[in-house]
Amino acid sequence: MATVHGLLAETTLKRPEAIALTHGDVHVTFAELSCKADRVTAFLADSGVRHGDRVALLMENSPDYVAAFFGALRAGACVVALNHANRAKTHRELLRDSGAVGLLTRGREARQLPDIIRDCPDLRFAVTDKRNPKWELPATCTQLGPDDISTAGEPPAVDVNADDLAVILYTSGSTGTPRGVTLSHGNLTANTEQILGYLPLDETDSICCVLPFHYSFGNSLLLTHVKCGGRVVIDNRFAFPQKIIETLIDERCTGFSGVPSHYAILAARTDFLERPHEHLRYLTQAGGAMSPALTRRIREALPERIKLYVMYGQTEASARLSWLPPDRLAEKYGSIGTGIPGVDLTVRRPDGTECEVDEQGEIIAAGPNIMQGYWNDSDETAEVLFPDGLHTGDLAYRDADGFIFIVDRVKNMIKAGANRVSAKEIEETILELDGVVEACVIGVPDELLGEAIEAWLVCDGDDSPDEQAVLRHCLAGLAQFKVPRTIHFVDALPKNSSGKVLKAELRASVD
Amino acid sequence: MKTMELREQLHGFVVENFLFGDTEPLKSDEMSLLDNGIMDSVGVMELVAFLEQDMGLTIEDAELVPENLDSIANLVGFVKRKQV
Repeated sequence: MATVHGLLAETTLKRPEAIALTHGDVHVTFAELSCKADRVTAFLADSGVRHGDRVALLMENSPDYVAAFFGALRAGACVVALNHANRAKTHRELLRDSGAVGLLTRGREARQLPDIIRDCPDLRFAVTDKRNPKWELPATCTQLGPDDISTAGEPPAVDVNADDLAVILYTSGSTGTPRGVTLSHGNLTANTEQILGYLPLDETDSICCVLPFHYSFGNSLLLTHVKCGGRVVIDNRFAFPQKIIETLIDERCTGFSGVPSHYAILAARTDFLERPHEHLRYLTQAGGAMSPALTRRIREALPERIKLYVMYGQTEASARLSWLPPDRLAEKYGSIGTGIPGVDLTVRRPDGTECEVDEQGEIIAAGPNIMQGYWNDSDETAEVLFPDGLHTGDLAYRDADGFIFIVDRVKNMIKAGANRVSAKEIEETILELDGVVEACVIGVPDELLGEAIEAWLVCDGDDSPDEQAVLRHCLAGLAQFKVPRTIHFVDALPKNSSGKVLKAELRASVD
Repeated sequence: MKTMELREQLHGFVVENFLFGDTEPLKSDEMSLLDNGIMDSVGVMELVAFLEQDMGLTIEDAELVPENLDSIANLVGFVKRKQV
């Protein structure tokens, strides 16, 4: 049966000495990666991790992350991939929600360890590369170092099959609480095959990876390259975008993948569009709508042999749902294309019937890559998973050629950069402040981010916090990418007759 | 501009825009703004816009490197070199 760690095992058998990962000056072959992953498997087994247990990873992209990921899967564990941009409070909530028994962390993410693992009753051990003698850790939790992994014995054989859960990826939900998307080994291996069905990759390919592996798009880059025997070149320095250009060229990367803000920054602040890119063969873009103007600019600036794949997906679909064939891009700017091989992607009316050409409806997706559901949340699962497939919450229409164009989101979510952000989570955080009576958070169009976050507040006149106080409070409790860019103080929010805030009116006032 | 004044201006921008007035996380002028989660990739773009629009500098793409931008001390040194 297909398993995610089976992808690594198969490629290691075929191409043991080929480079699987490059990170700075470090190059890791498939054989070395498998060996490191085996050590993790053995360590987890020695630590009492059993089939179905959750093991959380909190680290930036690195060979250690990849080894921990495959090693945990081989041990039969389900990986809970945490977003290192989040604050300790969120990590703690997700560790508790997932019931993770172990946490593997390193680098700067490890610095807040005591705060992260406080009050996590299921957590039995944490592994970090730093040991701080001053840390007071809960008695129930043993702190171990990387040496404890490298000296672990032989990995046991654990029977894992396609139906077993492989990962829980947390994503913002419309309720404000992060939801754990559960993906099985079968989901992830199916989506890997599906992607390779339209994106021709082989062992000569090297992807320059700036997307975090805890994000479904980044995870799909890892799995497709492991499957085809290609190389993942890890570069976590996108904040200094010219470094990425150097990596693309020095490492002779054949591919680059990004969300719209990556391309906006590369186009604005690097010489990306002026370079000849001798080795670059293709670009992929997903993670939200990129403006047709930027898409056109990239396509027209780069040599024609470099193909630009515009794609669409959701974490709930393992990653990928649609693609726009590069040779149709020029005639279909703004479209997300059609369903990828093995995915049935349709636009449907609320009664489930398929929409006519140009008629708006919700995008429904069916295929073996669709998630098992939300972790421990049958109510939220029942709102999106139906017999006809995943209800994506995206409002769209298809043209006469069958190409799909997204019009809006059905649900109250903001897409800021690569991140799906819940307006409700931010509103609830702001409402914790004394003096704030009402809060309404919306996404407004932004050239760089796709959508930027703005908050509209009604405050009690006598006890009103100022803008800086609101932003400081947000920063303390929310990841940086969730902090509003602008705060508006108003006397009242526009509402309909039943008292519901009219967000469209606020958006229109920004335009 | 004197070094101290320049330092205060850059420090002020970082505290105002990335920490919203809270100076506590910025423990030294040498600490990395990125590694310590004070600034992200969008923040770097905001910082560059400030240097260009408010301080009148022209910054080349190749100058967007941590050695120039990733700490208060690096920023002060960078801006002083640019102003020569």
